[in-house]
Amino acid sequence: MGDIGRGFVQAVRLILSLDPGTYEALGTSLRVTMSALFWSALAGFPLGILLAFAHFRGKQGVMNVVYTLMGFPPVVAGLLVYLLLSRSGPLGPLGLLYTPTAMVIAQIALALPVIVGLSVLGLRGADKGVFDLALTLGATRAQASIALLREARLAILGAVITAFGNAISEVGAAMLVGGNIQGATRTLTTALVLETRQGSFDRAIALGIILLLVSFLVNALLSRLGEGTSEAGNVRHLD
Amino acid sequence: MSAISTDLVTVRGVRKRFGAREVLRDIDLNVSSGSITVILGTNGAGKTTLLRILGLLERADEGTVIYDGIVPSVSTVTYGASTASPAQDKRYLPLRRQMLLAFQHPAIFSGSVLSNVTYGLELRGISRADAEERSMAALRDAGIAERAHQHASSLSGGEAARLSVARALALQPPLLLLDEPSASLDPYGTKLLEDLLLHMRDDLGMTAVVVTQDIFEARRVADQVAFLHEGRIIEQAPRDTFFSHPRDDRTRRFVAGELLV
Repeated sequence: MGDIGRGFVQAVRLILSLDPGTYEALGTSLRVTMSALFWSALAGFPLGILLAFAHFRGKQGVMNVVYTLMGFPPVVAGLLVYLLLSRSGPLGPLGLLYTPTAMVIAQIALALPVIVGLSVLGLRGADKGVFDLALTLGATRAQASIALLREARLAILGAVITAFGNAISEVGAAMLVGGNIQGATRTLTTALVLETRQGSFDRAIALGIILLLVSFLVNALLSRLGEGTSEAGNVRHLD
Repeated sequence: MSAISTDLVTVRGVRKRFGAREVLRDIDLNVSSGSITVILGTNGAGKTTLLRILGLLERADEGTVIYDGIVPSVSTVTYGASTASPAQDKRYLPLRRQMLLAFQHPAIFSGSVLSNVTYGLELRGISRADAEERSMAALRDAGIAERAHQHASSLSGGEAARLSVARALALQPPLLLLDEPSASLDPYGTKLLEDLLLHMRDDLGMTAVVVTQDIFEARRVADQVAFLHEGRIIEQAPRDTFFSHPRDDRTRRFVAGELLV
């Protein structure tokens, strides 16, 4: 109890004192998570639309793989990316192991199935008639897809929030492929593990609080964006 | 309608199957410009599929559809095994933008009733302000102006049908395709719809294809009537001829309200 209480007080002090190591880890966490999220969304939503509405052989098989990968153990994903990027691995010559890029790759492997899987479920739930409606009103296929995404925006938002939460809190893959190098690949989670092992509970608790705080702020921001899209649909007076 | 009219749409040899089911077997149909053509048929006759093919939302397996004089760049859509859906083909976009299909169960975008009407106008590059003005006028004509700023999902079935009509009034496409337009309307709404349809033909020069199983609606609004039965147009004639002197025995029985077995 004493440790926790003392740790908590010192944690607040650390946060307020703008400890450079802590904020460096925060920066790395956000950069890695956001770029992984960006690329996963860029590839994941079109894939989601395709899988939600296209008909082709083996589609159910693909979906089963996607749903399975949604529960992919992060540390296994980390291992696979590690093997790919390690010096003797197929992508070894790129020298990416223990860089933030490697961590982004591992996080994409984890976030992409989540984005694809959840957006397929959300889009199937949205009114399919909306796609044809947009087409007959003169939309291109891309514009009709956007109209459909707009209808499914809450589910889409859920996919983004889930993927973000997974990525920012993930530690196994980040540790394996990033290596927890100070000032380079140390994230909030890998730093937290290190500080706990070293018995610096105050620093560990401080990192935990920052992690929660960031999660809270980003989720609040994303939810706000989600509400904003309906404003963009020029609804001014809702009863 | 003038005695000599050109055909805005000409359908030749259109076939469509879904899996093992042959929905359209060999469709020939003429839609003369500035007229209302009603396609009559029983449930499952293939009416909706035909309408979706005319509206370039669905591809046919075989056949040709000629759209004459709507846009200069594209007039003929020829279907074959390798033809992609015309909705995916950018070449047909200008043509698609000159027609509108109103679905039997009107789909709506989440958002205000007004934004549901402005959407099509804004896609055509019309400014937000102009689009809203035109849309409000259309909503007034369709009798749901007081709902303009409410959420579209709060509309009843009949009101959604009116929203569908408002979209047509706002866009004024040269070719309007209506799928069972009065299915969810009360008699008053049906009267309003039919009056608006005649207004669009007479005052706006629009051409309409209406799919219905309602013989009386056909009698009220049609210039031409076609009878779609088991995937074929078995008879097409001017309204009065169609009802007074049907050539085909199946048409005669359908018009007389007998069961077709």
